[in-house]
Amino acid sequence: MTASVPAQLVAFVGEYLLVLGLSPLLLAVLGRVKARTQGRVGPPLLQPYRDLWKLIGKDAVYSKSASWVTRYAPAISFAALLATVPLIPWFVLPSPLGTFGDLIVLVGLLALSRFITALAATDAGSTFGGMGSTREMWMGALAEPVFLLVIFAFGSPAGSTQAGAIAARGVSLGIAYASPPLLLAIVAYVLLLLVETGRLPIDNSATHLELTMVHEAMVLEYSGRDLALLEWGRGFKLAIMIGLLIALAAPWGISTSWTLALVSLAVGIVVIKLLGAHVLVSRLEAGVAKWRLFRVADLTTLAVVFAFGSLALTYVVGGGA
Amino acid sequence: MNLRELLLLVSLAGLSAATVLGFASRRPVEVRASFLLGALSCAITTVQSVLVLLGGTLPASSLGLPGTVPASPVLALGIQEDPLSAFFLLVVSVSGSAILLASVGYAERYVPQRRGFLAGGCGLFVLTMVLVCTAGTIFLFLVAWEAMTLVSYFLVIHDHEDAESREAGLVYLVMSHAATGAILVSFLLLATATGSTTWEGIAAGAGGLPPGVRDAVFLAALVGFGTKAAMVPFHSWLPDAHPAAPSNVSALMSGVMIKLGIFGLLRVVLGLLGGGPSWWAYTILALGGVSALAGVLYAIVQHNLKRLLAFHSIENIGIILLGVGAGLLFQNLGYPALAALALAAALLHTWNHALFKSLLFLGAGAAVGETGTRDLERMGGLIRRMPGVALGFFVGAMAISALPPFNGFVSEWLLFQSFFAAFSTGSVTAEMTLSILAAVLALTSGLAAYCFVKAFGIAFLARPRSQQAELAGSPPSSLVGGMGILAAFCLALGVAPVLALDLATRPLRELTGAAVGSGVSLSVLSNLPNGSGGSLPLAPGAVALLLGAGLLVAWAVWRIRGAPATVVGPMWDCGLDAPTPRMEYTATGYAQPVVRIFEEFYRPIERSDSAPALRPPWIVLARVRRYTVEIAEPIRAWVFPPVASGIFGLARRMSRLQSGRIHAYLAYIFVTLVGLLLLVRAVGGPAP
Amino acid sequence: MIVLAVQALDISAAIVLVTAWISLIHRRIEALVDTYAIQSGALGITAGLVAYQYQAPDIYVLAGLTIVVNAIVLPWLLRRVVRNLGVSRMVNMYASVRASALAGLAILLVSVWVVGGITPFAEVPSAGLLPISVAVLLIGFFLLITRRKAITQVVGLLVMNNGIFLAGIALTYGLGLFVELGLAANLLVLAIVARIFLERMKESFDHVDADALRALEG
Repeated sequence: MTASVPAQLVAFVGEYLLVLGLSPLLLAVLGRVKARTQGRVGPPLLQPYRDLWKLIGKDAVYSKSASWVTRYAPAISFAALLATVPLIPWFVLPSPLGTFGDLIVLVGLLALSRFITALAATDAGSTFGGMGSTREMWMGALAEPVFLLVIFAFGSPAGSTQAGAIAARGVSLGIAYASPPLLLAIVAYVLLLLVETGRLPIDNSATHLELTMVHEAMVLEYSGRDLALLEWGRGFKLAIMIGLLIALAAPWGISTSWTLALVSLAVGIVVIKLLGAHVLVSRLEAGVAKWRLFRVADLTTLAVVFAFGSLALTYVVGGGA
Repeated sequence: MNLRELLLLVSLAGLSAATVLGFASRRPVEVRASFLLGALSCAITTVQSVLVLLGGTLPASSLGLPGTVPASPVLALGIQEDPLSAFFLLVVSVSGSAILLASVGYAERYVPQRRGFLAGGCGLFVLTMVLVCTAGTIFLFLVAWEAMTLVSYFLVIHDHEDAESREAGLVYLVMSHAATGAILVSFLLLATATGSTTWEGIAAGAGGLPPGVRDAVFLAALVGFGTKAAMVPFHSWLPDAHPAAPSNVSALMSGVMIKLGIFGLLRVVLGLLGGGPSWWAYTILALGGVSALAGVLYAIVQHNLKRLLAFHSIENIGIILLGVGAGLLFQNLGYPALAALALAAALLHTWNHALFKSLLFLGAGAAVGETGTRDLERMGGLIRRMPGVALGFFVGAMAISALPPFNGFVSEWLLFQSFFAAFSTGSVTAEMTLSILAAVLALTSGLAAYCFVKAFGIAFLARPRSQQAELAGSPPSSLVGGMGILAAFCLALGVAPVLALDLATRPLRELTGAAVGSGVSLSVLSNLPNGSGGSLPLAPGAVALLLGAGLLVAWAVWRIRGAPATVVGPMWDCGLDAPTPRMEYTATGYAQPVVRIFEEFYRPIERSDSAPALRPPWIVLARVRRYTVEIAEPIRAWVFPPVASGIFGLARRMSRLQSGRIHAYLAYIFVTLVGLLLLVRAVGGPAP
Repeated sequence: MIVLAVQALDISAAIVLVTAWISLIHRRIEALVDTYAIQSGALGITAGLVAYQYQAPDIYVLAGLTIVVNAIVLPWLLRRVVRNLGVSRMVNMYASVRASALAGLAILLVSVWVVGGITPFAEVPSAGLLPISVAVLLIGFFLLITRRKAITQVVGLLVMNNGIFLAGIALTYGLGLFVELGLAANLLVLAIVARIFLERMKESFDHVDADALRALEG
């Protein structure tokens, strides 16, 4: 069933508002659950919004040796992350405003965001920037084959690399969608998610020691509104990656009809699923310590094994992810 | 004579005139005129090839018949232009035009001597490449091919006072000749077996050849053209030859010439032989995967900017070969539409690489020319000295790293889609192989992004790492202009790849026999058997629009609380006192994590030593430390010494024939003569 | 419900495979033992699902036994051994972690390639588990080969045993209670013997590094 263009437009904008508006809250939930697990109180749930608002009001300071790369990188990175939002079915299928890309485009856009941030990190010429930059880039490079194989693993039974088509198959199959290849693909995706979004045990966003930083070392030079863009972008990158996991692994609840009631229900469901997934991630983070840097390569290798294993298992147990 | 022929004749004449003008030039203005004439001729060629691609050919039907009077001078030259020729002519001429334009300023500023030779050589080089594309017979093809090799050899040793250049040139010459030998073998096999020397004649007769002959032709062509394309393990001339040449020549060689290896391979394997058994496809796929990964891994550890770019050419040739191999595989499995998809990726990537690699080499030429060093560790901060060049290099870096919205992304996307389409063929081996290769390709493009953050970040960003970099001037405007043309193409083909795919329609139809609809828009490869309703899900224009919209949102966030003041302050120094450029991240440091992760591949030899720099009590804090890492090239070590020792052994055995007596040599001639006579009789010469 | 049970059976078998792979990347012995415990638990659940599917009480017993012995008692024993021996808790290995992980993948591919086509009893819906169980068996073998310490080799042996057990329940709805009971008892004895053996080794040589056996070379 296709909807009218105005309805699609509303849904399209709604997806953006959902991700942009919700991502600071999700980060707050994550921080709070983690704090509670560790016996602390944790910041109030509205704190990220206040932080962002405060940062947006401040001037940005640039280093004397920085060029235009430093100035435009936050906006480009932010824009690249934003462009991935409509690639993911959040609450209604088929995705509003048709299909302009697939998950490989999503990989490309994430790579664009990473590339420009890593370049900006080398711009000022500080040692820490270069350190963060090289770490971010090699981790990203190792994550990319995992991402592609995961897309193949999720996509091959649906015959499409589009998240919408994969989710639609999941919704129509119902519980029969669950299968061993799906399980393996999910495990691979979770490992990928940890690497892509720099969560523990890969990167500790709360660290204060430059030598152990990855993402933080890259954005050391940034302040004010630029930092706001980067931090907000980082928040909704997590939301995007988790939203994609939800759409691929547990799409049930996404509305396939365009009636207002069903779509609103689906929005509610996806918010609950996002909250739940963030709580899970924060429990996971609270339970592990940061790994040694080069263990990340072991982790991505294992993720490749899972993703490829998922493809191989489809020949044995049928079903398919 | 129609317009297409006229235009081709004009451009050939123009390139010839540019050559003569260059070689004969005495004054700078003549050198400049030679380059400009070459660029103009290339532009005419571009128009001509587009006309041919949109409809019409230059037939050579009268050629094979001795005694007939050719209908036009073009045909008299033995020239033929089918859609495949025209596509590669387009690839050659667009980059060629921009490079020759950029050469005007490049030669004037950075080439101290023999500028006229450089100008004439470049004109001749492009002329031979145009002839290679449009040769209608195997003779003209081989002559043009050899001339191309020789001219490029002389251009590589342009700085022949430099021993390194001479050695690089020698390696290149020897390997190219061996390759031409292999090509000759494959052509002679085809010509004797089919009794024809034109493409059409051979293609008509090649279908009925015994499999053994076809396999031999395939292998000889793969070795011959693979060497020219710098496919691993026949790549080792390239990383030496490209950095040794002047940068505009590097751009021509790396951006344009090596693509003709792909052209030859497509011509023989698909055009003449019409595809083959699946092991051909798997061989090409394997070599492509190895080339792509090995190329990028070696590129990462290079600190010579031009050598780094040269290794990336090997990587990209590998990517193109992946497309060619996948196309062959689908053809073999009986899916011509999928073969067209994979070959569309290969053709598009060929053009894309020609664009962005030329762009990058021109940028490197400016950087190397202004700083006087090729060493990344001695550059830095060039973005302030040469903003135009930096912007061009930035675009090229994004394009080669396969980032949207630039052209490299589109061709790699098409390639991923064709790999994914293997899941609809039902061949388990194809599915598993192409999935592995998809992972290899993804790793390759991730590492390419890594490498170009390093290259751009170390060379153009941060603070100058040496005095030369600090004093670099701004490069000539024609160089920046040439880069601008290429960068515009990179963006245009990234946002609207339909333009390029439309032009690729006819070659694809010819190569695969698939009913590729006119206007290969992305949704065209319409009889795709995957369930997505036939159209491929990508609208690069929409991606670009969404990026623009995202930038608007970012701008709104930026301005929502009033216009910001721009504050410039010192760099954050973590409490250190005034960090110097020596404390910046180096190229070696940047590459180190990857060396460590792929240790088994690189087998690095690391050395570090330290010595006290100050008298006590500071000795603990301050020591001079030196860390070097040396990476040998194992592929080179495995492949070449055995070959070399074999050749030398053979030569020693042959040297017994060299007695030094004149009678012995006369006896050899006599024996050869008699032997040949007997041979002629044996294969059915004129009976008595 | 039966359809769901088959699906759940497939998934729990996949968990057995996943844990076998994960055991390849561990560097601490305790983590390896924990993973083995999880694997055995998943195996027990698999057996339970088979039992439910065929309404076979003897397999229920077997499932319970697997969970008690393999998932609780044996790991507990192994952890005690690690603690009491006081050896370094790192897994020393001949193959790097990454090479091991990729070998794990290759093992699955080989198993699928070789065993995937075999369907011994067409009526057994869970015959697809055979390649998985062969893969688990071979991964156990791989652990046995590439890990240096005697205790990690014991874990490898146990993983192999899990693979055999999975094959058994996949093909014949259980090897038969008594065979299985015998096997379990055997394992327990093996573990105890291994423990005593290790402690003797430790007392005599002050280490339990199987590499030291190289000294026997002529």
